[in-house]
Parts: sequence; C-alpha cells; structure tokens
Amino acid sequence: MEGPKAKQAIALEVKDLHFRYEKSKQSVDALNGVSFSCEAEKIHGILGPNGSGKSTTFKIISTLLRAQSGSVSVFGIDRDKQEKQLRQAIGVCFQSPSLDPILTVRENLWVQGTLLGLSSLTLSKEIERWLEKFSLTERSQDRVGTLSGGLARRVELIKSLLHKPKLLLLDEPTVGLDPTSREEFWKELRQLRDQGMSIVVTTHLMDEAELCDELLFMAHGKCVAGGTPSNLKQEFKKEYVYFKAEKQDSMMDSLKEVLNSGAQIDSHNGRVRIETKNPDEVIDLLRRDYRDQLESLEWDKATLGDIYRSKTGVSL
Amino acid sequence: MRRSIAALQVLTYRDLLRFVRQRSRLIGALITPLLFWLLIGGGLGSAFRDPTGQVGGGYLHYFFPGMLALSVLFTAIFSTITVIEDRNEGFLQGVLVSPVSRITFLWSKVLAGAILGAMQAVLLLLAAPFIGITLSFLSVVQIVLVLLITAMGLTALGFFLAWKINSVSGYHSMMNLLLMPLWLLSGAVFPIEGRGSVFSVLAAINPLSYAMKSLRALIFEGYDPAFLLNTGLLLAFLVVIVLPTNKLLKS
Repeated sequence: MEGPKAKQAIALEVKDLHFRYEKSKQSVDALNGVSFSCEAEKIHGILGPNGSGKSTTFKIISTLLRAQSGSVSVFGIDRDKQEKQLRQAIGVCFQSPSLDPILTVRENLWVQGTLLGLSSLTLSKEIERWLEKFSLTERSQDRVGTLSGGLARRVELIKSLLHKPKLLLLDEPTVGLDPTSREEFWKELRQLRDQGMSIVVTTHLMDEAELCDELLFMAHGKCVAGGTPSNLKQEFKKEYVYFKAEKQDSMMDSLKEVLNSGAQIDSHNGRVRIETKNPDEVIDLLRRDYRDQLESLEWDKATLGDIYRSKTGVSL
Repeated sequence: MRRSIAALQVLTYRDLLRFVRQRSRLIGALITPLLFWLLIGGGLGSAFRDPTGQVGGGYLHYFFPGMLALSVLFTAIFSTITVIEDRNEGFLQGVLVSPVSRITFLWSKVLAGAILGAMQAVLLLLAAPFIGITLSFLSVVQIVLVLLITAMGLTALGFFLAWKINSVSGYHSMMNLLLMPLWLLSGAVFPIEGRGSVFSVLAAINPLSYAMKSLRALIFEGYDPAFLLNTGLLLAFLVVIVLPTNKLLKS
C-alpha cells in the first residue's frame, strides 16, 4: 500500500540537480542532473574522488549552496520552499572543522544547541547525555583548540546530533583521523543507525564504503551506479589476476593478443593486472605458456575501488 | 521570535567571550587609541590653535573626542574581522546550516561591536579628569549613546565588507582605506571649519563628523543642542548600511 508510511521510508530524495560555477572565466558543470534517493534508517555512502560532485551535492542538501535547477527533499520537506524546516530536520557534520577553537567543548555545544532552537533545560540535558556517551565529560571545560583531531571530530558529531535530527549528513567525517579513531567513529555511526537515524556520508575511502548499507558512485558530476556493497560486487562479475614477471611489458603485449577482448590488461602497483570474467582460464594460460617468466601470480575478487574505476574510468 | 533573540544573545555573548580570551586584542584595543592620543596630542601640544575657540586646553584636549572615535573605529575593524575568522575557522558553516536567519548573525556582530566599543570608550573616558575635563552623568550617558550608535554603523559597514572579502589582509586594507579618511575628515584630528568648500562637503556627507560634533559639544560644553539631529543622522547611516547588507546576506 502506497500510504503515508511508504512515503516516510524515503529519508532523502534528490532529483535532477544541476550546478554550474565560473572558474577562470570558464563555466564548469559541477553537477549534471544528479538524482538519487535514500531509504530511512540506513547508512548511505556517496563515493567519489575530489571533483566528482559529491561535496557540491552535500552542500546543496545541507542548504549551504543553491542548485540552478533540480530539487531536494528530506522526509518530504522541500529544500527550497521550506528551508528553515529542513535545517531543523538535518544534522550536518562538515569535512573541515566548524568548532570555535577559543571556546570550550561545552560552550561550543551550547552555542550550536541554542542556534538549533533548544531550550536551556533540554540543551543542558542533551549536552550531558552526549558528552557522557562519547566519553567527553572530563574534557568538557577544555578549549576545543587543545583537543586531538579524534576528540574534536566527536565534538563535531555531537554538535550535529543535539537536536535529534531525522537525517544526519556527514562530509568526509574521518579525514585526518587515525585508524583507531576512525573505527570508533564508525561504531558510533552504526549505533545511531540502529537507533533509527538515517545517515548520508560522503567518502573516498574504500574501507569506509564497505561499512555503508547502500552506496552511490559519483563521477564527473553524475551518479553512475548504486546499490549495496555486496550487490555491486555480485553484479560486477569480474575478477582480477595479478602477476609479476621479468619482461612485463612484452608479456602484456603478447597477452593482449592472446586473451579475448573481454579482458582488460594494465599495470597496477608494479604488477600486471588482468580484469576478466574467467580468472581460471587466465591462470591456466599463464601457468601453461609463461611459467618460466612468472615471478608471482595471484588472483583476487574485485574491490569497490576496482568496480568504481571500471564504471567511471577514474581511480579513487 | 524567542528563538531569534536567544540566538542573538548567544552569538553576541560568544563574540564578547572571544574578545576577553584574546588578551592581545584586549590590550591593543585599549592601548592603541591612548597611545595615539598621548603621542599626537602631546607632540603637537601648544602649537595647535582651535579656530572655533571651543577648546582651551591645547591639542591634548582637542584630540580627546577624536581618540574616543578612534577606539570605536578600531573596535569596528577588529570586531568584523571575526566574520572572516569565523568563515576561515569553519564556525560560520554551522551558523549557516542552522535554522537561525543570517540577519541574526549580522546583528550579533553589530551588537558585540557596539558593546565592546562603548565599554572601551567608557574606560578611556576615565582619563578625562586628568586633563581637567569634568563630565556630568547625563553627558556620559549621551556620549556612550553616541559612541554606541557610531560603533553599530561602523561595525555594520565592516560586516558588509568582511562578508565579501576572503582574506584578513585584504579586509584590513579596505577598512583602512575607507575608515581612516572618514575619521580624518570628521574633525577628529583637525578642525574642518575654515578649510574650504571641498572639506565642508566631505564633512557634510561623512557620518562620523556628526558623531564628532556631538562628542565635542558634550565633552567641552556639557550639552549638545543638536543631539537629536546628530544621533538621528547616525541612526540613518546605520539603516543605510544594514539594508544592503541584509540584501547581500539573502543572496
């Protein structure tokens, strides 16, 4: 039944976004008709390298930028017609710091909570609750400028959560964090998702993309593919054979003639990489005809990075 | 409305807190006008003769209201530099994606600038008795009011420029280019009277000259017969600056 409940299940709907800006007197198309939707209560990852359009999309959704055309709605709230309501419905965590380094952790949270319209009593309770949850109570009177990158990131996250947003937007939230802090950050995100929050996160990191429930690949200002990480891998149906050899270049030329057109051959980190639907066939061929020249031979399934590169022609 | 007032309060409080915690800013804002006053006032000393005959105590006396205006001017410059700092440090992003309107952010800067300017001027007014100037309570209240409105206008002007300029150094040059002539042509440093028609026209369109007229009358004569007119013109200057700034923020 397509009742109001079914509509409620869409947290974010983006339709045909176009954004153009001037750079050195030339017009650059940052977004070329970006459309996608995100179901509620899931972690959605927008994957793409710098210049793919993911940060521009993020800025438009978070109301920092206005698109030339297209629409954005969050739980049915229209970005252009109900900007104030939409800002109340979202929590935004930027890639670059947005905390005041001269203010303490508590003061920063107090300022943002007040801007979000929380009453003193509610704000006080929320600050205590989140500080305790993120083990920051002892540092609450410290100036933000004295915190480590990991702790400051946690404060940024709390800042975006104070008003219990329906949709949490995170732009490359773990940039500059060490692996342990990143792991903890993602643990916290999963907990929030499990408590019913909808989350959209932009990233260019493969290991983070694997942690998302749904992924969207962006390149050249367009959405090029989407789905769950496992579905994307299953649908790809190609695998990789890697080898090292004495005369790699001549071997690559010879293999290009021998293998059928479905296989792609290139150099990758000092090794030859063959993208193929039939890895067994390629391995048999290499072992049979090139055994004397081979120094190493490995086979691996496609990673999300491989799939992204194959679909967009761009490496992450 | 209640939310907007709460947001205005918290943003203004934040700016005041930042000012107090940045000790160098605090010292610079107070000492610089005082140094200007003592060095320029003392240096020119008795060589100065006021053509209006309003001031009898030499240049140190004449320059006293100019020093108060200078402290307000410096406060306006440094208060609105924080707009660029807020943008560069990322704090502004959080404000822009919150439900609070951008005009609230503008008024928080204007209010903080006005409060800081007035507070500094009150501290500098404490020097008045040491050079033989006695002020009544009513004069002090009126002086503070003039300085408050002047600070608001200049801070709003600074905000307009800071919103458009990305670098602190670029903003500094623009503010100096704009505000120093305003100050110099206001009668703060030398009397405008008797300098020819060009100076008279420039003084007439310079909002700071109305602040100087009022301050000079309140300090040296105890009352300003044109107080309402002068403060009214200063308020008009504030409105003239706030309207395009508001439009700029909405774009």
